[in-house]
Amino acid sequence: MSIGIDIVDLAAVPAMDAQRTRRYCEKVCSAEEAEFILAAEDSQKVLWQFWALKEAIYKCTFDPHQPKAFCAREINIPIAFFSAKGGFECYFENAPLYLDLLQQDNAIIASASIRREVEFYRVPYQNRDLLYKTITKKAATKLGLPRVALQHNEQGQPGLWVPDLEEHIPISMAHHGRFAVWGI
Amino acid sequence: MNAGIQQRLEKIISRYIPEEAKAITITDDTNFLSDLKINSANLIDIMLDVEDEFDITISNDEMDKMTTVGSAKQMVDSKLTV
Repeated sequence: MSIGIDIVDLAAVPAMDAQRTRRYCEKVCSAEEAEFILAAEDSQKVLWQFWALKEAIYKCTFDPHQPKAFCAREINIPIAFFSAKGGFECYFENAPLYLDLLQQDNAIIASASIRREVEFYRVPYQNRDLLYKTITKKAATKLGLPRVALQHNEQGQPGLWVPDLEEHIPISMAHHGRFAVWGI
Repeated sequence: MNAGIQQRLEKIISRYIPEEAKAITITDDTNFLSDLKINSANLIDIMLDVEDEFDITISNDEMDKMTTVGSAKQMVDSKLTV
């Protein structure tokens, strides 16, 4: 994949006390990440920022020829990311990757991409069918082509099939709580 | 397998099953992610709840192996019978 997007709706995550946050960190983070998260003023929010970035990187670097299950603690986020302004370039498995993170309406959106610029769209989430319809409609408008189909490959990765171009365009999408997000 | 363990475990799991998968009949082969559509973040919540409920500690390696309801039951059972 060339893009990975994830979203965490902070209104939909269960509240955690300090002890549970620490235990959660121990299961999904490196020692360095956990130390950074637990020292933060809003540890829970920073934990979900890490989580969303890890999911985005996993999706972006997923290799369909060597599929691996998501394991959050195996993906380490550079702590320097959090003091960088705007997008951040780093390397994962020797490949350059751009990371970004933003917060809209109490939802965290993370992106990882091989390109610096990522286009993503946040929409309200009701159900999967409606989300797929929204994505194909928006993608058709964006591409200026009437026929666009959302397809998943054998590993479950989404993509847009554009018959008029005979092209498969990778996309990434996620939903959580009130929102869905998809990027191209 | 202690029926009490099974019941307590299923009670924890059911908290995190999304609406779209609520009708699924849970068996030992039921996969948390692909069958029950439990997201990976909630899978960690299940592990923490299981640790609290049964007063056990689940290592990261053990957690990675708990992909189905049956494997979770076996893990809890083995820890309680040691």
